Order: sequence, then C-alpha cells, then structure tokens
Amino acid sequence: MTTLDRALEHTGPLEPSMLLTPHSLDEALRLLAAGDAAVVAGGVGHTLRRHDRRPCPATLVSVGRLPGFDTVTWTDTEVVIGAGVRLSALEADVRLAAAWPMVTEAAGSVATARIRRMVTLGGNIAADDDSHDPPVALAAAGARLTVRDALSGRTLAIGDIGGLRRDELIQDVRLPLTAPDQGTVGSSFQKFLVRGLWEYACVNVGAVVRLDARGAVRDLSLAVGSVTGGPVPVDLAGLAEEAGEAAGGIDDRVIDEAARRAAEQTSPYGDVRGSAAYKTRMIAEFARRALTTAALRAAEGTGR
Amino acid sequence: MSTAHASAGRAAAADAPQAPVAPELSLDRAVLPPVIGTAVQRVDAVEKVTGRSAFAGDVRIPRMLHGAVVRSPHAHARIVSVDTTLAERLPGVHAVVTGADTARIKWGAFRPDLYPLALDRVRYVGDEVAAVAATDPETARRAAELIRVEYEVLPAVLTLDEALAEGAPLVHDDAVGNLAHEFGYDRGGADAWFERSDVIVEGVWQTTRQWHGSIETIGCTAEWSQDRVTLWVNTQTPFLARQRYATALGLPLRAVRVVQTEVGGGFGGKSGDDNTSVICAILARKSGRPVQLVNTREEEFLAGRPRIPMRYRVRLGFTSDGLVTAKDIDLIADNGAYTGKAQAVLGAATVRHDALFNYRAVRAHSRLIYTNLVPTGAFRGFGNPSADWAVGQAWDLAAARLGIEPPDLFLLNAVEAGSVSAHNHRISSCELKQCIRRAAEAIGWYEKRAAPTPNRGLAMGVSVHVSGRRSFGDYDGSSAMVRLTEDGRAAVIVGEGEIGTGARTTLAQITAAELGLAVADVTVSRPDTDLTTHALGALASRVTYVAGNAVRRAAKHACEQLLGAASRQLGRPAAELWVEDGMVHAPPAAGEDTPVHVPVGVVVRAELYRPNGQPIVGIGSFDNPSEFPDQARFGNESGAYNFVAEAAEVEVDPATGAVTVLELAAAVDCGTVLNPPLAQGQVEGAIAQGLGMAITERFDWADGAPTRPNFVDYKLPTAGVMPTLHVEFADSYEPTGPYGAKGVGEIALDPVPSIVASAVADAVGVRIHELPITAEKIYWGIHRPEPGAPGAADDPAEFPEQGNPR
Repeated sequence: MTTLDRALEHTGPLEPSMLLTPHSLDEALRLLAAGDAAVVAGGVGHTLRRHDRRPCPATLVSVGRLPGFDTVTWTDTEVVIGAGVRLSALEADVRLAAAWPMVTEAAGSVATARIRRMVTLGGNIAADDDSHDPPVALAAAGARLTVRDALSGRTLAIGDIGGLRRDELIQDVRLPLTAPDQGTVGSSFQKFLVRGLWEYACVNVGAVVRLDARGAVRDLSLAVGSVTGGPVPVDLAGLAEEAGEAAGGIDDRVIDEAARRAAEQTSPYGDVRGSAAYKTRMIAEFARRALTTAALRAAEGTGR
Repeated sequence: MSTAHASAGRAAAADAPQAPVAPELSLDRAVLPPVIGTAVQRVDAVEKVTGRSAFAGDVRIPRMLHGAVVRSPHAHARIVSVDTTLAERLPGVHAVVTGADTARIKWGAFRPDLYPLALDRVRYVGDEVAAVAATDPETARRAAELIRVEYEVLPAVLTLDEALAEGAPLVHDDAVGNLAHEFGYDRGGADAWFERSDVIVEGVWQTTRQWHGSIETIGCTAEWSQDRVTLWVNTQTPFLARQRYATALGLPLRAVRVVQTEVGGGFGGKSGDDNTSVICAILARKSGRPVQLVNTREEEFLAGRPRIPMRYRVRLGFTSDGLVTAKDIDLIADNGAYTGKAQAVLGAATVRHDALFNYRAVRAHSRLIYTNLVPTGAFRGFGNPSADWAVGQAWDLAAARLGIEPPDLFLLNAVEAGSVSAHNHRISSCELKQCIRRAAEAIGWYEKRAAPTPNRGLAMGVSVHVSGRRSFGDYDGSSAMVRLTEDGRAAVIVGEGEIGTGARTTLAQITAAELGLAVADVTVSRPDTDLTTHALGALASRVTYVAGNAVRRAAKHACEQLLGAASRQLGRPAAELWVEDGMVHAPPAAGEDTPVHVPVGVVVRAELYRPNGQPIVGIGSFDNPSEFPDQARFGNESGAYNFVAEAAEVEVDPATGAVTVLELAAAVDCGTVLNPPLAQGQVEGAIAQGLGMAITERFDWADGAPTRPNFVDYKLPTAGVMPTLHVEFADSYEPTGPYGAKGVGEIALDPVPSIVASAVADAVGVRIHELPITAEKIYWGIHRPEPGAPGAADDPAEFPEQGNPR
C-alpha cells in the first residue's frame, strides 16, 4: 500500500460511521440538512473518493432508490429526467434518443456498461467534473437542474453546478422540447478517445442546430468539455443569423467559424490524453463534426 | 557393391551440413501421440473460472497480519531522520521496520545495488523507506501514514540525457557517469562492409517504460518457524527468487523456502527483483507473526520493474540488390535507480536480432544508465520488442530506399536452419521464410499493394526468440520426477510452475503421451523449494522446451519401471508390453487366446505391496544445449530458436492522427504446437501487449513519477483495440524439442511496435521515432507547418507529447 509523503494530510475519518437509507426525497433532504453528511447514489463517486483516501463525512445518505427519483416524464414543452435515472437507462431511452440524441449518446459513452448501470445522472452532474460527458450534452441543450433542500427549491444551469450546497440535492434535469410547428432540432455528441473506449475524453463536444419550419438556421449551440471550467458553452453570437440568411441550411463556412470560436474560447489542459495545443485542434475538429451531424439531423427533421 | 554403398554413405555423412545441436531424442514426427497437438482443456480452467484458485492475496494463515510500506516521495534525497513513534503507538500495529531492521546487504540478480529498505538515501519515487505490520490492511496503511520521514532533497537525474550529462549527479556513488553496465563488439568488420554498401540507412528510435499490467499485483505471505521463513509468493521463478531473497535477508539459502501461489499474470514482472517479499519477511520476523504484503495498483506502477526505455541509433548497409551487409547500433538504456534484470535485458536487446538475417558484420556499443526513476527489468520480449522496433524501422526504411517490398527483402536475407549468427547463435529448426510467406498471404499483401486505399498502410516485421536462455550461470536446465500412484495416475513433481500460460497443462499432456494415460489422470505440482525439483521457472520462453524435455524423460523413466514391474508380474518380456488408456497391455501369451490388460494402478500397487517393494518414480532432466555467453555476449544462448513474421494493415484518420489497426497476421514457428488453443492464446495475448506498447500505454510524468499511477491514465489495450487477427503456425519441427516443440510465450509481441510504426509511415508518410505511437504524434507529423524538415523526425524532442519523463 502506497503512502507518499506528498499525499494529502488526512484530518477526517476515512470511512463513514453510518449509511442512511431514507424512503422519500423529503426525508433525504432532512438528513442532509442535519450536516456532516454526503450523498451516495450509484456509489461510483464514493468509491473513487475512498480509493483516493479522501476524508469522509460521518454519514452517507443513500438516494439511489428514492421513489420517483428515476422516472422520465414528458410534457409538451419539456422532458423531465429524474436525477436517479441510471446512465444505462438513459442511453436505452428510445424516445429521448429521438428528441435529444446528443444526451443519449453522451450517457452511452461513459465508461463501461457495468459502470453505466451504477452511475445516476444526478451523481454524474453533481461530481462537477469538467470531463464528464452528460453535462457537456446537457449544457449544449440548455438543460436546467431542479435543485432542492429541505425547505425550498431552485433552478440551476449546468454551468452553475459548482454552487450546489452540501444540503442540496439535484431532483431532476429538464430539457426543452420544440413544438412540431416550430421547426426541427438536431443534436450530436462527439467524444474523442485516445484508446477508443473506457476512458475520459481527450475532448468532448455537444452541438445543437435548430432550423425553422422553412429549414433556415434559427439557433446554434455548442458546449465543450474536458477544458478548464468545462463544460464551456461557446459564444456563437451572430452566427445563427449569418447562417439563417444563407439558403440551403448551414454551410461549411459557418461550421468552420463555430469550430474556430470553440477552440478560441476554451482552455484545455495538457495531460496523458494530449497536449493543450493538440486538444485545441481537436476541439475545433470535433466541434465541426458535432455541428455537421447535428445540422444533418435537424435537416432530416427526425432529431436523429 | 556393398563396399561402394558403405563409402557413399560415409561420404554423404561427411558432406552433410553439421547440425548445430545434435538431436538427443530420436523421434519420428509422423507418429506424434494423439494427445500432442490436441485442444486439451486447461487443467486449471475450472478452478480459475469459478474463482477457487488461491492467488497471493488469498493466502490465509492464523494470526496473520497485513503490511504497508512507506515509500519515498522524492526522486533523490538523503534520509535525515525517520520517526516511527506515532505509528508504533497506533492500536493494532505489531511491527514497524526501517533500514535499521535489515541486514544492510545490497542485492540484485546481476549487480547488487538494492537495499531491502533504504538506509540513508532514496533514489526514486517509490523507493522503500519503512514498513508496518498491523492487524488489518487499513490500520497498517494508517500507521504508515503516521511515520514521519525527514528528507534532504538532492538533485536528481530524470532522463537519459540528464544522467549522461557532464558532471551529472550520481545515482550510486560507485557508478561513475551513472554507467551500470557496458559492452560492445565488432564482429565481421563493420566499417569495411559499410564501405562496400550501396545503400545505408540510419536513424534514432526510442522506446518507453511499459508496465506488465497483470490482473494480480505482486504479493507475498511470510511465516517464520524458528530460523526458517516460508514465503508464499506469486513469483514466476521460485528457485531463483529464493536465492536472491536469502541474500537480501542475510540468511543462508537453507533458511528460505518459497512456495508458488497461483500467479495472476507474470509477463516478467514477477521475477523477484523487487523488495515486496523481502520486506514481508522482515515484518514477519519482527512481529513474530505471519504477515501478508500485497502491492496496491499504485505501488505496482511506482515500484514494479517495467520495460526498459531504450534509445537506439541504428545504421544498416545493403548492396543495391538488397543483400544486407553491416549493422551498427549504439544503444543506451534507462536502468532506473536499481539494476535487477536490466543488465541481461540489455544483452538480449543488443545481440538476439542478429540471428534473423545474414549480416556480414555487426557492431554494437550498449550502455545501461542509472537514472532516478523507477527501476526497470524483465518484460515479455526481454529487449526484443525494443530492438525489433528500432532495427525494424531501419529495415523498413531500407526496403523503401531499395525499392523492394519488405517481405521480399526479408526473404532475401532471412536465416535458415543451420545458420550461425555472428554471436554463435546456432539455428537448428527454422521456418522464418515460411512464416514470411504465410504472413504476407494471410494479410493479402500483394493484393492490397495492387489496390491501395488512401490513409491505409501495410507493414511487415519479423523476430527471433529463444527457447530458454543461459544467463543465470552456466545452467539452463530443468529436472522432474514422475510418480506413478497406486490408483493409476501420474503425479509430476517439477519446480517450474504456472503463471497463466498453461504450462501445467502442456506438461500434463507430455506426461500423458509418454505414459499412455489420460490427461485427467496426470497432476502437475506447484513449485515448492522444499518439495519439488529445482527449476529456473517461467522466463525466456523456456518451460515448454526445457521443462517439457525434462518431464518427458522422467515420464519415460517411469514408464520403463512400470513395464519392468509388469514384466515381472506377468512373466512376460518387457518388450512385448505397452501402456495405453491407463492399462498395461500384452498380446495373448503362448497357447492363450485373449490378450492381457492390467490397470496401471494394479501394477504399481503390486510392485509396492511385496517384501521390499518399491514405488515407481521416474526422474529426468534436461539442460538446454546452449552456451553461457561471455562478457561480450558471444555464445549460443539457446538450443532452439522460435521465429515469427507479422504483417499489419492500419488506417489513420488524418484529422486527428488516430490510428486503427485493422488487420494483423502472425505466422509463428514454434515447432510442434502441443496445444493449439493455448499457443493461439499466447500469440493473441502477446499481440495485445505489443499493441499496448505500440499505441496506448503511457503516463504523464512530474518530478520523476507518473502523475496518476493507475489504469485511469495508463491505458492497456482493450478488446476494442484488437484488430482482426490471422494467427497461423508454421509447419515446423524442432529436433531437440519435446515432440518437436519450441517456446511460444513471447515471440509474437516482438514485432508489433515496429509493424504499427511502419504501417503508419506507409499510410500517411509520418514515421514516429519514440513510442508510443500516439494520435498526437501522428497528427503533428501530418500537420506540422514545415513537414519533412531535415532531421526533424529524428529528434524525439520535436514532439510536444512524450511517453518518457522529461
């Protein structure tokens, strides 16, 4: 067993003294409000923290099996995904794949099937890890998080997850839906892996293209992960308008400009997956690929 | 007439080429027993897949404690003080040990330079400083964290260039210039042959550290009984490890007993060159209780013995019609902080590939250099993959310069049976040319060449490996006992062991074939230095060839005794008897109608159950018919050489540089294939490990250590990385091998990095000079603003992303 002097000094205990299994969301929130407690849902984050020998709060509150926490609900304007939905369920959701293929692609790209059967969507987001895949897709989609504590609730954007308090829990994730008469939406998630599977991405990108009923570009969206502060939404101001004026949908010039901005506005870090300079090139490349696929899907009007 | 015949016969014999090694076993290859060359199920398959095999960490002994090690966080430092007070006070702690508790003896396979626990200096991040034994692993770990070590950080050498620089800090004070080992030779007069060459190619190629990545980490359980210690270890080489552990512990050899547990992957990494077992024994002695110490995955990376990074400058000369003339290599190898097997690896990496082609002259200068990095050592291939990558790249360049397709160039120059290399490597069986042709055919070489696809590339590489290697003194032998039991089975007692390759299965097949028993009626022991025969263990692809011969002779000896006993019991001449299907058979006796069948067990029991009865125990031994190479590595290192030709097709995505290996064909000459699925498994696994070395495996480094020493960063190839494989075995027979067999464990790994690199060069014109061949390196090769700048590709420092620390 390795003990390196440069390892963290451990002040707290390494194992929780108690695992609590509340039967409702309210009960879970009350337990969290009592303090010195951490949430465990699928258990993957907890396992990694234990492996890294990070101090552990006295109490773990298990929320992985709360009633109603793992449902997907559809309305005319949005789809509401419970925070307890496992990534494996998400990737297999046919209806979601039709509306937001980018989200099911991102969920299905995480780690391995065994790990995806454990990881919950809420846990994956709450980890606040810039390289995680679902948050990149959700950021590009403009998803909102419903967050609760014992007394009240609020809404957060994906990018604000760092503000989640220890007594708060993500209740659900809301994705907007476009009415059929308002045009079509295409989306795509692209992830570049050095080995090809079961690894953190070198770069991961989500892209959305909205076309109006006439087929003209109404809106473009891009988010980039595995960069400092990620997922970073790319500022594409003016580009949708420019693209919308062009006949025949989105052209390569617009896509290249969007890719250029994605590379310009993000700060990747060098690591075992590649140098920062290389990742910048790959961000442009995969932004291009994601937008191209998203535009194609939007034009086909099928979402996929 | 008869006189003429006789003299013609004599003349023919005199003219015949001298067989390099006289076949000691006369065998008719046409009549191999049915159990040879058959897909016999592994003898350990069921217990492994049902989780019942006991690996190192599964050993349980009453009162057993668990150990934890304190390691250096610095690449180079003086130990000012070690304060163990807090650790000793922690409830549950039974022993805390430091260098003061050791025999203060340096140990090592070839160049003793490693203390069991550091005395006054640490030389790499991971160097062992202190250790704890406690009632459970968590307490031990916590106690280890309570040990306070005060260091005075010293300047460190973290690259080969830093270590070789003028006035560089010394890793060991007695190694001037950080030189751990050096040798060289010029055999055949290289300069003269270069002068006569029409085409000369040259380049620098570098490999990086590669870790074994075994599923099971290194582990040991130690228990003392008076003045003897028993170590249950997942080592590949129990008898060799025992010798070194005894030295490290300051004990006579007799005081150490090593028992092999199940081994969850060896690949050279469990060759007993690390301190884990030694520290475990020291903890057990001080605590007075059994202690188990198992590496964490992080420790396996920080303090294992990964593959040696080697930097080759290679120069090859050819005539204009493609005949190779001379080869010159200058090799520097990164030893890390301690030597272990690296010195022997350096030898193989320098000389062995000279047994592939008919070089007229070979010159080499090889140096092993200390650095303040994790020590390096044995890894499947043992220097060959590094040599084959560097020299293979030069051959690929030469093929392009000569305008000759690589398979054709190889065929022009390949060795054959009877060839003798400049180092006196005497090739007995050799089907290298057959392998080259079959690999080319399997990949569809000429069809693909006729219809090239953009961004796809094709390459071929070849390699030679040993079947055992004389390197631990002038002995590369094995011995075995085969005891026939009173219930009609054969118990093979042999000290070679099993590291996952299927060795116990093939040894059982050989025994079954020799004795006419079913494989299910043969058991093969695990090594125990008290109970089994002496053996060198699983290294150098030697077990099938060396131990296979020893076991075969022991089985033959047992069979002779069995038939002798049956002869006495039945009153029939032994020559009339034979064993088949577990029965001794005899034709009908004179005047009788029915043949005689007696179960083997009945004969064995009857031989024992009589006044002064005897057990039936056959013994056999075999020493590799090889030579102990001299200091300059002259000498025939093995009695049999195995060969491979591999061809690969890759596709490169120019937008990312990502390389996909589409197809890989391997044609292997390992003599008779004793068990096809096992041999195929060895080839496929070796190719996977080769692809890891070639493409996926590397770390980020900071301050002399990987930043995240675990599998998150260190990417072993997965099934998804594997190409479509075409594995073929050459029609081959080794006259000195058991039933014609040679080694097969390592060879298929050797050419993989080279063929991937050459295929990438063929696909997109980018030749990578430092492993691994990452997408990023290829990308910058394609998108570099000034592609093809002279010399640029020869300088690894040009690439922003690297596999080596810097």
